[in-house]
Amino acid sequence: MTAVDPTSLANSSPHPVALREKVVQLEGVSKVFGSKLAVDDMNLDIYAGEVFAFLGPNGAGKTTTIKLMTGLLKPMKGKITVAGYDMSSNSVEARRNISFVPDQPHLYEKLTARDFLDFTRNIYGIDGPESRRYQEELIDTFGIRGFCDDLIETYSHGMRQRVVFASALLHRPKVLVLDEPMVGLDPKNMRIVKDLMRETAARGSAVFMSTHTLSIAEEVADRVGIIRQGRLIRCGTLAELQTERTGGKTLEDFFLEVTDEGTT
Amino acid sequence: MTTISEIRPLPQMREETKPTHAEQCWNGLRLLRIRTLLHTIQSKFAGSQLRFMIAIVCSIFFWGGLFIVFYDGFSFLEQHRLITGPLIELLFGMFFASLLVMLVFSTSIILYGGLFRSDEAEFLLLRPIPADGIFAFKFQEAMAFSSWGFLLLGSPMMVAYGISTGAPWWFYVLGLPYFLSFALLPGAIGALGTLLLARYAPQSRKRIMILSAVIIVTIAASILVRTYLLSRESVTAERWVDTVVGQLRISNLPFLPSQWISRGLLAASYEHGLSDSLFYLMVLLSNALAAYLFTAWVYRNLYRAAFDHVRSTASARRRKSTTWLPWIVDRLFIGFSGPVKVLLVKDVRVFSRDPLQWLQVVIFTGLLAIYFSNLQRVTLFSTSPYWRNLLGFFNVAVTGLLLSAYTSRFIFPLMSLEGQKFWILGLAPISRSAILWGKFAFSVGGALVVTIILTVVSAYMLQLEPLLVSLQILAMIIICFGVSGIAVGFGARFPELGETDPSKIASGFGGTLNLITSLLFIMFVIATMALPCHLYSMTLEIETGLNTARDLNIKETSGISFEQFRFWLSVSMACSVAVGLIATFWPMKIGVRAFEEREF
Repeated sequence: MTAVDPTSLANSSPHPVALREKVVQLEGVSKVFGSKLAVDDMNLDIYAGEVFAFLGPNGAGKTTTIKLMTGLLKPMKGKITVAGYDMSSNSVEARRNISFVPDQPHLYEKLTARDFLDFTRNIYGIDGPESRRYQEELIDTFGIRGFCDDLIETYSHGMRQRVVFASALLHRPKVLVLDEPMVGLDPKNMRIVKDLMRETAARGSAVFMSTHTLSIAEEVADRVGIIRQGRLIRCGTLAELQTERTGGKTLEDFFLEVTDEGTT
Repeated sequence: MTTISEIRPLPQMREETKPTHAEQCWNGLRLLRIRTLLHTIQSKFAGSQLRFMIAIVCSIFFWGGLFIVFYDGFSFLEQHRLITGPLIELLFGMFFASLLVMLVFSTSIILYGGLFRSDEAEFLLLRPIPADGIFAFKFQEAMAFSSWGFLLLGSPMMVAYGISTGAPWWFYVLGLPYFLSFALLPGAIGALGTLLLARYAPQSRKRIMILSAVIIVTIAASILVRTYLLSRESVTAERWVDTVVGQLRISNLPFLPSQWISRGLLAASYEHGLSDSLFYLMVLLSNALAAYLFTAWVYRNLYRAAFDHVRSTASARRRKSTTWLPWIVDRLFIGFSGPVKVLLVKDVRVFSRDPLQWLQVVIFTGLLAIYFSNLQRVTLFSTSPYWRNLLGFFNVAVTGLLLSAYTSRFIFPLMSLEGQKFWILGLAPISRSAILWGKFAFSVGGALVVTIILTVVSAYMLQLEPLLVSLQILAMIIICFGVSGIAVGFGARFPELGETDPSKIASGFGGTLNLITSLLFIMFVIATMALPCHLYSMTLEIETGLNTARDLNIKETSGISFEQFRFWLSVSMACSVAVGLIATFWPMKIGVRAFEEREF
């Protein structure tokens, strides 16, 4: 396996979405934790209407990249743009266009799902009959109606995830970022989330998903990025990666091979 | 799954009615606060109306008890014409200066957790909320948590002072705005300090906190040492008091908010002092608001960067696993099973590796130790049996109160915090009751070390007789066991399993009940043990022929004979031991039962 120039990966064309709007751009982004280089000169473009799967072993820098992308952390070097807004200089507008669903999402235990969605609408400054109608639509979409007036503290993990997804879509973000979205979900809820990702992308938003579940990536992703030790080592469509997967290798074999510590 | 509408721009609101983004965010956060509060009260009330009512009744009872204590104290001072302007101003100044320091520290600690370490901060920062909006939201919460005790302690004191001095109605009306303005100022300063630490020294924050604590204790110690040196020449109590008053005026320097509030409240208590009082209120309020606005402005500009610095700081600092700790625990806690000792070692390690926790213990214990070690200078106390006894038990009471604050803050939340990680202990081959007794041993062990040292120092400085020293040590042992039993038992019976912040767990229903029960227990033990000694000390006071007996209006019939003293002392000791056993085993019993029945 030969080393790959990370700058060439950002636009690993041709791919089906190359001509679409770039909704997230990471340009030479680096982040250091103490003496550890968590993200190293990352260049990555995410396009409107695609599902992007971000793969990497534990501690590779996936969550740090996501936190940089969502504005929780600031890059030591480089620039991040979301929907055309610079995350450093215009972070409020950038955050208006992005939603993040963490693997362990925070919810206010003493609120009901409806309270939580009302709160989200207020925070994003979306009010009026249209947004309320859309809220009701999301309540039905995610099957929340049956328990939306109960306190969140009584919900199961799956119920919580559905509330979080509904709130993440309420302000119609251009980018939906999901960190390990399938963790702890039953097959039915996993199906709901997969459909949600495909539908959200089909409506024109980008979905950026970090996951360890390679089969999910194969199933729903348009493009896949692989990160190791903070560097994006592979990026492209599944078909592009297929060209490297010689000898009947599965995506899992390929992933293990390229993320192996001794491999460059 | 039904389909989702297409991504399309939301209808715009009419320009003239459209609130600003900051207003929208604030409305959202206000809605969040109101609904959370409402649902919390509803669920608490619906969960157990009896529990809710007990909490209210206990709070009223506690407030009333404090009021009576303060009222008696102020009446005594008033009766003996001791309430003079400068002295009472000094006392108020010292009280508020201490609160000032405590509020700065407690608000900083709560805000650091809330703004830099919590999941909620992460959640809010992901939203398009201005940084000062997030700060304001969390600041309100931190202020409520850090100053409720201040209101609970301060309000009965002020009402008692007002009534005992016949203060006009506006004294009571102005009390609340004074308290709120006063609390806002140290809160804002603490918040600013927290932000600057997080932004510019995230790796050294613990060291800086320790350094601050050391500086505070050093300042207090230097004042007392200077007082000690200057008062070596002062042979009379009056001269000594004058010297001490002179030295302690640092708490009443003109630029300190503690002076503004003490002068303002005192002015309000005079018939013609309203305008003066309003002046001080305006000084306090304007400074508090200016401090708050400045802090909010700094947060607007630095909070996100500070959050990034804290989260980007490498936290994987290595710790050497000590071998001496298990060795000490093994020898100190003979009779406990191996797994309980393992739990003890774990608890000691967790506690010792969190300076924000033990720092508070060090500050207050240090201040108390300094105070005790200076008692010898009071010639009056060292010669008068009456005062020696009174002051000795007063010191035991202060130490006990400090202990109840420690157990409420550190021991009570242990079971709630353990409950969240119960899969670790729940699967271990150890009974649930053993886990609880392990916590109990941890609490008693720590409490005995701190309180017995303080009691011995106090007794030595007051030159107490061996009998009195033994009695006070016995009282302290009973208190340590009882208060630990209450904290561990109630902690298991009323856990707050969803809460991760120990200070919030301590200020919930169970925490408040624990604190009140502990205080009532301490008051009972000390009153029972002190009463026969107090009566006998009156007899000794008359026998020694000191002037204090005449000054204090002690009559020959006031005291009791030695035989009576022996009898009543035996009765009081038996009562205290019995109540101590009940306070230890009854809460532990209900705690163990609740813990064994609880499903995690």
